[in-house]
Amino acid sequence: MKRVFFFSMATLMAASIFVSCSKDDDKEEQPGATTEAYIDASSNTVWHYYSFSKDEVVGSAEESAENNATWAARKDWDIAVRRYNIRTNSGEFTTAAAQGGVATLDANTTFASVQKVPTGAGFVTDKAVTSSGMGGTTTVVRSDATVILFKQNEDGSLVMPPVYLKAPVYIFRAADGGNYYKVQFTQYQNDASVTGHVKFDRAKIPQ
Amino acid sequence: MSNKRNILCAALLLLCGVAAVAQQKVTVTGTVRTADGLPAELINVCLKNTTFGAVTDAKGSFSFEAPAGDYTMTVFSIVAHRKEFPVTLTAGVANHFPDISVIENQQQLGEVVVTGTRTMKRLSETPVLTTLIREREMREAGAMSALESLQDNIPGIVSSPNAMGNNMRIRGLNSRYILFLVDGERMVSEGAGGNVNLDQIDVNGIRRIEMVNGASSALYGSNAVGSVINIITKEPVHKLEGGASQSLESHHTLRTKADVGSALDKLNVRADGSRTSSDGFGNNGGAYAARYEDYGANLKLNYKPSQRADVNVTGRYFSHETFNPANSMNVRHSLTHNLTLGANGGFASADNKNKVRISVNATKYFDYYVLEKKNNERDLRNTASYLSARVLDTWTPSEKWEMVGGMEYNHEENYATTTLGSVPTNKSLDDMNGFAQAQYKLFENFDLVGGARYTYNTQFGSAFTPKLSVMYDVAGFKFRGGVGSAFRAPSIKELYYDFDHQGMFWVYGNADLKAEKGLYSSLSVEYSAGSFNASVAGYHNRINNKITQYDVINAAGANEKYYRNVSSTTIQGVDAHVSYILLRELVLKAGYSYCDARDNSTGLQLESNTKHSGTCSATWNGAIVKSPFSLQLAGRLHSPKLYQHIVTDAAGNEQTETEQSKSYAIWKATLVKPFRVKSHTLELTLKADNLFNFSDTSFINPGRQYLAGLRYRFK
Repeated sequence: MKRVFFFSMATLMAASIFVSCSKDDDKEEQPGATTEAYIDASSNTVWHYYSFSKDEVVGSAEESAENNATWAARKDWDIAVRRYNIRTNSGEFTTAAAQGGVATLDANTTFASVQKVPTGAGFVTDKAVTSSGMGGTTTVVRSDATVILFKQNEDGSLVMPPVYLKAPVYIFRAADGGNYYKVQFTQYQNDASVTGHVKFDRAKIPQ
Repeated sequence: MSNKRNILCAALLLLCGVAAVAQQKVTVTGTVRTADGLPAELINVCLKNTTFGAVTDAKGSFSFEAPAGDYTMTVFSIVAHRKEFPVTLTAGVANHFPDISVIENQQQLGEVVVTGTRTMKRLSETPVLTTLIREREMREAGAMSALESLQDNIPGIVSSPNAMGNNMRIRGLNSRYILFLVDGERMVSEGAGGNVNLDQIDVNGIRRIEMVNGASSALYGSNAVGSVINIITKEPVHKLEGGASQSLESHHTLRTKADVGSALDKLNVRADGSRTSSDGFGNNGGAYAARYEDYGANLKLNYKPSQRADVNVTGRYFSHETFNPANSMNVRHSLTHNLTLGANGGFASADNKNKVRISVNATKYFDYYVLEKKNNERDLRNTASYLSARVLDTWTPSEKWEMVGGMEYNHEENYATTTLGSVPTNKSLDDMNGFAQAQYKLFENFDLVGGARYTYNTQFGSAFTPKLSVMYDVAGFKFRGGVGSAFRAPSIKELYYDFDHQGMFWVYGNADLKAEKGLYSSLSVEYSAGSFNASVAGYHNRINNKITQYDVINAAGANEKYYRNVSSTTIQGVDAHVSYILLRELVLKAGYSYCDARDNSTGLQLESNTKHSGTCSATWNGAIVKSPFSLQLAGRLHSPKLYQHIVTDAAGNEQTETEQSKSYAIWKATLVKPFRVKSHTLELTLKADNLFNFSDTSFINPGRQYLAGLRYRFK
């Protein structure tokens, strides 16, 4: 009897805790703490696969069909960075139905002002992009999001030497499809001006 | 006629001689200047009704002997209004006339030029058609740089300035095919396109700019393929002179300049310094130019121990720093600076018929990154060094012959941390040259100039570049014709590039590259009558062995770039110029150029060529209550810039795709008002550039710009 009482009390308490938790959720979840992440993405050929929940690079691999197939089958990473290119574990890249993606916020939106995913935010997934430039024509499956934006002349050509403009604030959807992170890229060159040393501020935000 | 004149002269001489028996001879010296205070060269100064007199030299100085007595001094030439005034020559004292001022005719034909033949020639008498931009014209146009002045006066100049320089094109040819000289010495080009930054020459220190079209390698060596632009700098003319100026233009472009000069009997010194800064424009979109800050200094020293010898020392420093926009994430910016030092000495034979000049010039250019997060530490990326030594002899055995001959040695060296190999690497080139030119006056009105240069280059071997020009002068018409050849030596980068662009692509030079060869022929006619002058010139320029970059896709699918001598280009066209002075006050000028510049393998126009281009200006040199001013309206116009490519359509057929800009029409208005009090001048310049706000995606320009400037000068 005592045991039954204990169990019912425990259930009740648990229930009340659960209830109180739900009540907290109703009061609106606050964004998580902002932390800074750093990825050495200076190689032109290597992708660095990063997990928001672990806040670490879970692995790195050269751009190749074989490596891409391996990483396309994994759901333990959310974004990958190669120099200024980004992948989001979604769309044409994933073979594991990962649910990543990115929403690009208005250029005037500040990182601090983003409290939750704006209503109607459109998330874009990875797709094959063919680009031609000095390096010839290449096709890579990647996201529209980039670490930096290149300043352009009026005719669409790049300003030379390159001017790296701050990219807008992005909201990345994690591979699980249920968690969202706001990101502001804060560095592309390290102090010695070597490009591809990427730093970004990140914080978890409620939907 | 000529005989009659001789008899008359002989008679006069006899008379003077008789008179002179009783009189002691004295030395008459002096200086002739233009209304602007510049030395007036090749001006006749003589005593009326005698044979005593002389012609002024490059400094406007003259010296001759005459018996003491009362005379009328006559100062005249085809360029200046005749001036006469009474003088008394007294024995035992200095008969010095330091400040004879002449008013120039507005036509430029009497101006002296040097680029076409490497000897002093009247513009109207040079067998090589030369375009001249005078200091006065630059001032009346409110020109703030040599580039602006070139754009104002030469139809079809296209410039897209960027951090690497002026990025200039004339007739479809870029800076690699244009030789830039300062007082006859090569400006060292750096940057991918062989660009030079013309801002390193202070516009207040420029006396004139000369431009000769076509192949001129016989006199100047490599790069003189499309044209030669020679900037002639000022020399002091007064015991003490100087000035300072400040101007403010849109986008906080602030230019501050100061100069000081002194012309003493044996020593001439001129020094200037300048600072320019600008916010640039387009940080938030549209046409973009970076914020920059420049510092420059020039020194010119001339010592003349005797009438027959002179020594010159020159120095030039320029630094150019460009910054990133405030909203960028770049942590480094670019800083370049260059130092040029030169020395030359000349000696003339007692009869002044033979003149030899030995000169040495050296330039070193430094290219840094400034690391903003490392206390602005400088990271040296490239240097370019250039050393040139020359012996030049000018021999005028008679009035009919003029010979120029010389030997020249050039050494060029590049240092690069990344582009010439994965480790810091030095590469160099040397060449030895011998050249000669002879001008022969076949008849009174027929001149013939022939010359050639032999070059031995340590890398590509030898080049032989002859040139022939003729001029025939009849009834106000001048007919000029010429055939000239040119070469462009492959640059150190084209030869030795070994550049891994962060694994994205690779560029490899080709040490077996040959020199590009140009063959230029032209015919022109010029007509002058009174205040009217017009010229039309047709030309054909073929450049063979053109060095072209091509792509190879390597086994890993990446792009490798190589160089080879493969293509050829044909450029042909017509240039026309007309100028007319109306009622002495209104100067009207117009230039037109038609240019067809084709790549022979594809038949396409060279990148960004414009087929029709023109410049025009109307300048009113007026006066209000005897106080002069000038008001100018000037325009630059050209047909669309063409960008042609060959594309393959869906059916696999090759087609020409042409992209083109709008037609350009850029106008500016300038008011210059000097206020003079004795030897002090304060000059106000007000300018509105790009008056009608022309814009195009191909035009790196912020739209209408305003300038207000004040310049103070004393002498």
